[in-house]
Amino acid sequence: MSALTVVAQRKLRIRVQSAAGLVSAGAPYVALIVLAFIYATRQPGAFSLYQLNNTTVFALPLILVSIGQTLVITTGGIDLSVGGVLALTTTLAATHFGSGGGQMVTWIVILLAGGLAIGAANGVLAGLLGLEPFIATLGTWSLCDGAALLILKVPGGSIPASWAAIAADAPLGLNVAVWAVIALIVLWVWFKRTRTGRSLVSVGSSADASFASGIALGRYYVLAYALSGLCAAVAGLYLVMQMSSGSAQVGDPYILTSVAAAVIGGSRLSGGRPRLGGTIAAAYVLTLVGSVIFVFGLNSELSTLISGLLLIAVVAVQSLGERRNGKV
Amino acid sequence: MESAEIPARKRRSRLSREARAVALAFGIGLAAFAITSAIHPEFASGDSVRFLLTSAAFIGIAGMGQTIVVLVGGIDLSSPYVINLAASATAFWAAGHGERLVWVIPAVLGIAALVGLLNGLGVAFLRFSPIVMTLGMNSVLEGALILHFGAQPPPGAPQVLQSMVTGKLTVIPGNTLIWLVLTVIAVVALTRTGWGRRLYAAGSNPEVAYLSGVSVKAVTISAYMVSALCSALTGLLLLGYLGVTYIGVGDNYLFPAIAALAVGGTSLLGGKGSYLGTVAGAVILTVLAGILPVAGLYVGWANIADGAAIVVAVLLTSAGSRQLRRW
Repeated sequence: MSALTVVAQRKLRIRVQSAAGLVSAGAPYVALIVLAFIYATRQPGAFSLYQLNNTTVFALPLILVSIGQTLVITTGGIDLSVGGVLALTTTLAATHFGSGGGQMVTWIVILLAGGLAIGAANGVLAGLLGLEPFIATLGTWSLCDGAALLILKVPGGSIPASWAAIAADAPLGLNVAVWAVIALIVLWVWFKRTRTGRSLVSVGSSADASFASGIALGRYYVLAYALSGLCAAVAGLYLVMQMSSGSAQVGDPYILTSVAAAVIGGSRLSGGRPRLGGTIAAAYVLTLVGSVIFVFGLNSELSTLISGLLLIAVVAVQSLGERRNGKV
Repeated sequence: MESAEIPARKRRSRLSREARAVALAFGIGLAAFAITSAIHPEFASGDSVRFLLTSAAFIGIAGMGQTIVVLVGGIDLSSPYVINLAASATAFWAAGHGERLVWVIPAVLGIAALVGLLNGLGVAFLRFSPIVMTLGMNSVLEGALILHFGAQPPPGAPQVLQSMVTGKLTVIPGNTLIWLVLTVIAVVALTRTGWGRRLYAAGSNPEVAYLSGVSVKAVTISAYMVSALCSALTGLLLLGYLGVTYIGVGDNYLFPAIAALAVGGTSLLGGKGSYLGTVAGAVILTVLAGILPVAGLYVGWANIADGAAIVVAVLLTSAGSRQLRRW
């Protein structure tokens, strides 16, 4: 084989790989666009501002939890405790906000700090003490779920009207949920460029290499889990606006769905490739599947089946170009 | 498998660490049982112990499949709806007629084997992450189950199945006897057969195992098939025990099963662990869950005790093998 063909082959391989990278990064957006067009065939005004507001209101809790999950997945971990933090936040909010005002503000601060602290505890267990993330966060999930059950045995409690009203606010025609998503994207674009952000990503992309270069430090793991806990707490505070009550059962469906959103979004479960935009698109996709099923008048259980198939299909497309050369 | 032989000294140390984890886990479970029995003697009564063993058997059998998949470096999140599918399909197809079980049970096990085969193919050939493959499979099975069987409530379990599971052939409940037999089979298969050695080899280092002549793909696929079969069996036994089934009957046997194997010293990274450890883990979790009602505590405390037990027990049993990281 001449040197020329070797070079040509290598060029081809690089081109194929970058095409595969494009497919992998684009898959969640393509899925979202296709789904939106399917939705539009039955729902007039599917591309209106009203519809964007409406869909985002439903999608925001999942978007928030999935963003936290994506950060943890970036370090090669997984966070099952988000369900517990979410449940605990809604039960505490629904029982302690009182009639609003100073008491409510105090508790909002407490709950945000609590989410951060529970997340940091996960980070210490998984990042510093070397427990497997799945097991460490399974433990804290169970602890939080138990605490939430002690606070509210059955869904209940109440939320001051002033807090619930925020969910309906729409400055400049955009619902607060849409503003929240915009803020999250801006925050991520900024964070990704900071030294801390880059270190967090490189910790997951190759633990050995970052260890050698001195950045595989426990603090970045603790940070990722702490931010995930914070995201789950914010999601909980947003959910109580919608439900006007708290529930110990509300969090669990978000756990594996947030993992699915991160993976459909293009993040690698083995770590090191955060695709936050993809995660947000995927969270919209998983929310829209339910709406599409509804406007077509189909059995709502189809959405579970379709979400499962979608997960497998998107990941299959993404893995097409990414096969390593090993035979094992 | 000569090529995968480990130097005698090293093997002994590996075995002893595993044995330590198992002994510690059994110790914690029995100590919790003994202390509670001393305070509340009714906890040690025949009925109470039979109930604990029955509950532990379900986690133990679901945990058997999970342990085997975890040993090969995977995880099986499709277990809840394989359990549910087995229970629902058996209830509907048998429709209360015991003699129909002759074809219904093989059919259900066949479907489970097919699900396991698909999981295994996805992980081994398409290189899907096990979490993604089995999570997707679980959603697909959940949707399919409810679409197919969800319209009307399932008929009750055939009498034969109920008396087989609950009937006291001896003083030990039927499902506990089945668990005991399966435990012996699993321990022998994992520690005394070539399949078991290949499973550990593929789980601890797939490249080395492949170069040593182990068909890593075949072993991986077989593990997912065994796991699905264990889940289906759990579903059959649950149907017999409860007499009826419902949507979501398998939901409580995924995370407890994984917790049981982790408490028992099996590493989620693969290649390290034992089924006896999972048995010990199932005993710990069941005893803890059983203590709280006896002590008059509300159900929330059970989750708290579970969570604390998982973290503390795994910190203890994995003390020597964890890698600490600097701040």
